[in-house]
Amino acid sequence: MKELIEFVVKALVDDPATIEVTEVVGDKVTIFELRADKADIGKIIGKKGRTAGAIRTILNAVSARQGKRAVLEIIE
Amino acid sequence: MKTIEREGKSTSSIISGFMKEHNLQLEDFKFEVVDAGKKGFLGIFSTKPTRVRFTMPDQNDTISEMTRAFLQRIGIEFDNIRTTENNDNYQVDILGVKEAGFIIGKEARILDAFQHLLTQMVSKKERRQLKIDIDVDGYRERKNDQLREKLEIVTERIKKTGRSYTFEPMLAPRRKIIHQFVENDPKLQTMTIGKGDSKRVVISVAGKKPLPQPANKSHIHPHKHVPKDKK
Repeated sequence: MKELIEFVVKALVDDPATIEVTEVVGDKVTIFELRADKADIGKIIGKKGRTAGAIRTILNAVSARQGKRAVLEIIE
Repeated sequence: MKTIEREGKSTSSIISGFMKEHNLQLEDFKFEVVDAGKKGFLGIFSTKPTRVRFTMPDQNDTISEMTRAFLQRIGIEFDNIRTTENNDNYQVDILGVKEAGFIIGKEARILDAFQHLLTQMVSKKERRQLKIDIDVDGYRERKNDQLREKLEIVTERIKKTGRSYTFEPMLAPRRKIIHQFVENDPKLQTMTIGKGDSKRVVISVAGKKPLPQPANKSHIHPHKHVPKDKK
C-alpha cells in the first residue's frame, strides 16, 4: 500500500526525492502520512482536491479488499 | 520507439527546433546525424541540407507501461493493455481483467479515479496536459451504447408529450454523448444544470423552457437540482 502511494505521488511532483510516506498501524485503521515539499503539495491535492480524492478512492478500495481501513493524511 | 527525421541548415538548429516542436528536453530522445549536408560557396548556396534522425519513446508505449505498473501495484491481473491515439486523445483498453468489477467500482468511481491519476502522472512525465480515457473490457463502451439506446426512447417520449427529461448526474464524457445525440435534432434542445460533480443534462422541446424532473428519485437533493434561472 505504501509503495502504491509512493508510486503515484512521486509521478505527480517536481521533486520525488522529498516524498516520504510513513505508515502508522492502528487497531482498525492504518494511517498513511504523506510528506512532500511545499511547492508540490498543490499537485498532490489537485484542482478542487480531485487528485487527492482520487488517491483516497483507490486507497480505500484496495484496503477494503484486504479487509482493512486506511486514511491518507497529507502533511506539508 | 518511434523515429522522426528532420532536415535543416545545421545539426544544432534542427535539434533545437525539434525540441521546441515536441516540448522535449535533451534526455527525452536520441539523435544521429544521417547526412551532415554540404555548404555551398561562402555558405550562401546550401547544396544539401543536414539530416538528423530522432528516436524517442512512443507515447502509446509510455502510457501502456504506466498503466501496467499502476495496475500491478493495485494488484489487478489482466491479459493485455492496448493504447491508441486519435487527435491527441489517448484511449487505453485494459483487456482480460480478472476483477473487472473491482477496478471499475460503483458507478465507475474507481475507474474514474484511476483514469484521473494516470492522466496526471503521464501528463507530468510528458510535460503537457494529455487527455486519456481508460476502459476495462469495453465497459464504458457498453455503458455508452446503453445510454444511446435510452436516448432513443427518451427523445421519442419528449417529442410526444412535450415534457422535458432530466438525467442523473454524469461526468463530462457521458454528458457529451447526450449533447451530441440531441444536436442533430432541430426539434430538441439540451441544457446543463447543477455544478461540479452533480451536473445533469436536461433535454426539452426546442424553444421551450424546461421543467427539470428528476430522472431517478434517489438522486433528489432538495434545492440542488433546480436551475438558477427558475422562478
